[in-house]
Amino acid sequence: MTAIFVSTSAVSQQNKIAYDLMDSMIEASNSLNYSGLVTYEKAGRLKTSKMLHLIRDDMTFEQLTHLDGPAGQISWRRTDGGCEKAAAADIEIGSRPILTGDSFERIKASYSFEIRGQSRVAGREATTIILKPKDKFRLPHFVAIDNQSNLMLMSVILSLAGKPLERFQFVEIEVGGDLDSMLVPDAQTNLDEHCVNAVSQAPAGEWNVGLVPPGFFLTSSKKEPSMGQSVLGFSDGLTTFTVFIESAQISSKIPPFTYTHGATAAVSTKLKVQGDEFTVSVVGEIPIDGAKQIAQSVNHASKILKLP
Amino acid sequence: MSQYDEHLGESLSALMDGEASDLDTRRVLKELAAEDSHNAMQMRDKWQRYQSVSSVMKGDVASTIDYSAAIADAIGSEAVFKVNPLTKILSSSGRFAIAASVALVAVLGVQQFNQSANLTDETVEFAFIDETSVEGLVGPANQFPAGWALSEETQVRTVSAESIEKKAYSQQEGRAYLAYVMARHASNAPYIRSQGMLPYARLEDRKTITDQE
Repeated sequence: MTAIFVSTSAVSQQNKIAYDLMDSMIEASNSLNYSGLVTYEKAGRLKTSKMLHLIRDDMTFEQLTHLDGPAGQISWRRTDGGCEKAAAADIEIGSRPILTGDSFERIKASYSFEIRGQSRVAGREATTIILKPKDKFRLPHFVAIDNQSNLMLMSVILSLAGKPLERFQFVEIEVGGDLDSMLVPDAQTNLDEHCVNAVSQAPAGEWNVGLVPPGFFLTSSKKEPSMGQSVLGFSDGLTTFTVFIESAQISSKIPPFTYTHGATAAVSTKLKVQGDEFTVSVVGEIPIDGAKQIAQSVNHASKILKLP
Repeated sequence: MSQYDEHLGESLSALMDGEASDLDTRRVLKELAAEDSHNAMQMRDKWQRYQSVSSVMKGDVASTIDYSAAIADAIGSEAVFKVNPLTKILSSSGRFAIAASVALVAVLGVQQFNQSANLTDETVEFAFIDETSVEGLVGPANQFPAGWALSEETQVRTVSAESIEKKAYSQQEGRAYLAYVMARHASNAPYIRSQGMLPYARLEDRKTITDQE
């Protein structure tokens, strides 16, 4: 009995350490300037990029420069608070899809945390944690957190069977130093504007996703009248999936399919509403069976309203 | 002196006497290949000494000058006429100037690129390449890091849909649509702090898909 008690308390203690570590990781990514070389690996392909992450007051800047394959660079910047006002103006859109304290609570509700041990990543000592999903709508994540800076050095998404599906990993990282005083470059995308635009659009109210797994919340909702398309984004603070509903006209050419590539699953199904055939697609870093169930749960609001 | 050194000495003198077996020759050449190693220098000295002794015994003039470096230089500076065809391909284009295994992927990709030339969207083309090159990669095991396994469903699969009468679906439109939704999903999820740029890393065409609609 004592043994059972001891082991249970050891587990909860370990959970707490893992939570605290994840918390520190989020804090570190919100406050530290860092730059480094990262690899992204999936389905036997490896991409290498240079990453720059800068924080100035309440502004975050990130840049990803590709080092192999077609040349390219992606960068964005956003200011804290810019989206908050907009999000508050329209609750239906959902809260800001940024990992805040609140969404970390959601992660804790949807995954169990377990410290796996010590490891070395990018020449630094790191603690590895496995995040095990509590249901079949998410995939396990394996992360390594730098013991010194608390930054995430590696993130691997595993299949339900425990095989790596995609891996994002630093091979070299520099924290602070000159980066703390460096001039912030211009960004291609300003997420504040993006945020305001997204919110000012009407939510795709005519479609209803019947099965939104617990812990996921609507992060974006877009209707594009010119294409007759509705796009709904969902996130649990760690995993995201997107639901697409295509017009009957476009749907007539698209075959139904299922596809998995790395950790990303895509399912496209057909839905008949009043004689018209629509396409419902679900794409996300979620198990394919879960994606199928979500896709099949989508229905037109008119159908729901007609129910007694 | 180790047993290996002893064998090496024997091999060298066998070579000197014209009685060296293939194994002897290979052993000596292997050792000489490591130019700056202790063994190689010792062997060169020994070879020179053996040759001098042999010359003296035969009544020839023994030279103490070492021409080997000068000869090696002369050979090294001569133009090379035989070019490995693979090297030629690799150097002919900057795009392929990468390790041969990676070049293979690129070649497979280019073939697919040409086939899908009528698709105008670059996003579509890249994803198309990605998908098919993965299929083509099943061969060389060294492409996959240990513990990695290919998904069984690497291509678009049309599932039977009894309730649907219209069969005007196009496989090509399906692939284009798949590439579109994959890219749109990846570019739509950049907000999660803990994930940072990770969703962008998933983008196949490596460009920002901006929502201009």
